[in-house]
Amino acid sequence: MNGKTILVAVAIALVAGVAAWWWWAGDERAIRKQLAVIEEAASKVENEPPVEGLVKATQLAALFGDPCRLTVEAARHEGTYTRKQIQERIVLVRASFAQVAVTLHDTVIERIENKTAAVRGTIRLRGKATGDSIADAQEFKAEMAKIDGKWLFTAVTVIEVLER
Amino acid sequence: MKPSRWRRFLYPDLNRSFALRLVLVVAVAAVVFTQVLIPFRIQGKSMEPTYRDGGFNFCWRGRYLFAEPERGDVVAIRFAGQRIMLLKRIVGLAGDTVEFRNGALFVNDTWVKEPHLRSPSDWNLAPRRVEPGKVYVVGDNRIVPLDRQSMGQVEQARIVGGVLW
Repeated sequence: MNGKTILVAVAIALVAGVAAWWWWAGDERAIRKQLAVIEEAASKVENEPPVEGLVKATQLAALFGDPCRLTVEAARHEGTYTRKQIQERIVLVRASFAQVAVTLHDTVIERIENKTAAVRGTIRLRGKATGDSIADAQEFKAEMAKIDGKWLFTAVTVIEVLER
Repeated sequence: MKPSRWRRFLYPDLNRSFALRLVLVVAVAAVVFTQVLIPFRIQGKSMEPTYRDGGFNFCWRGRYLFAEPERGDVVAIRFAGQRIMLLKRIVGLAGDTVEFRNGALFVNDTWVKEPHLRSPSDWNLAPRRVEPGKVYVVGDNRIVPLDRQSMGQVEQARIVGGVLW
């Protein structure tokens, strides 16, 4: 085996490795992009124009599968909601804030396989309701599925860290 | 003439030995401040007046390496990771019964004196038993309404450490 052959073999292996990494990281990148939309679309500036609020609610609702299972452990609540129901709920929740900043932290994609993924992280809200400052943090876990080329939430659970 | 010790400290020779020392210091600092003493800024008033909103402290992860959490300890509790943590005081251990009567804390039906509290409280919470492997935590700021206070029993495994001061 001459030097040229070795060089070609190394180049092929390198390309295959990069392609594999790119393919694997592609899904992770797409999921993280969807998570970034949450931060962007859930946050609200003071005196936000109503139309912008509706656009953001639509963007947020588009991240969810139709239907999506929502579980809030602290409230002992579990339900399955259509995308339209989710959008209506988002509009209501956003309207209850005068201003809010939503950030995600420690987000870990625990598994990606067979066009499904499991995500876990901490969501933090800081803002103002009707004059009162509000700060809250919740741990969440979510199931996502690749539907029509888009990663969508199919189940979201708000984990109860402190059980009263 | 040999340069003074201070001059050598402030203006070191950029040689291999200096580079090694620099790498070592950065590595040790990275390990210490991500794994042992985690710096954090307090955001929120739930632990006032003991810990002020905007204050700075460290989470000392070695606190419970050889000791079990005790009642009265202030601990950092993690969510999904260590970027966002809750700062709370332990008031009950596994097996204890925790209760609030007109703002007064009762553990195992015995009134607990809490000298660190400054604000009056009207909290009423029916007795509840702390499950095995968990501790009951509450904030020091009892002036906020009970339903707005993040409190309750939490898995002991979620305790990251104690506060340094």
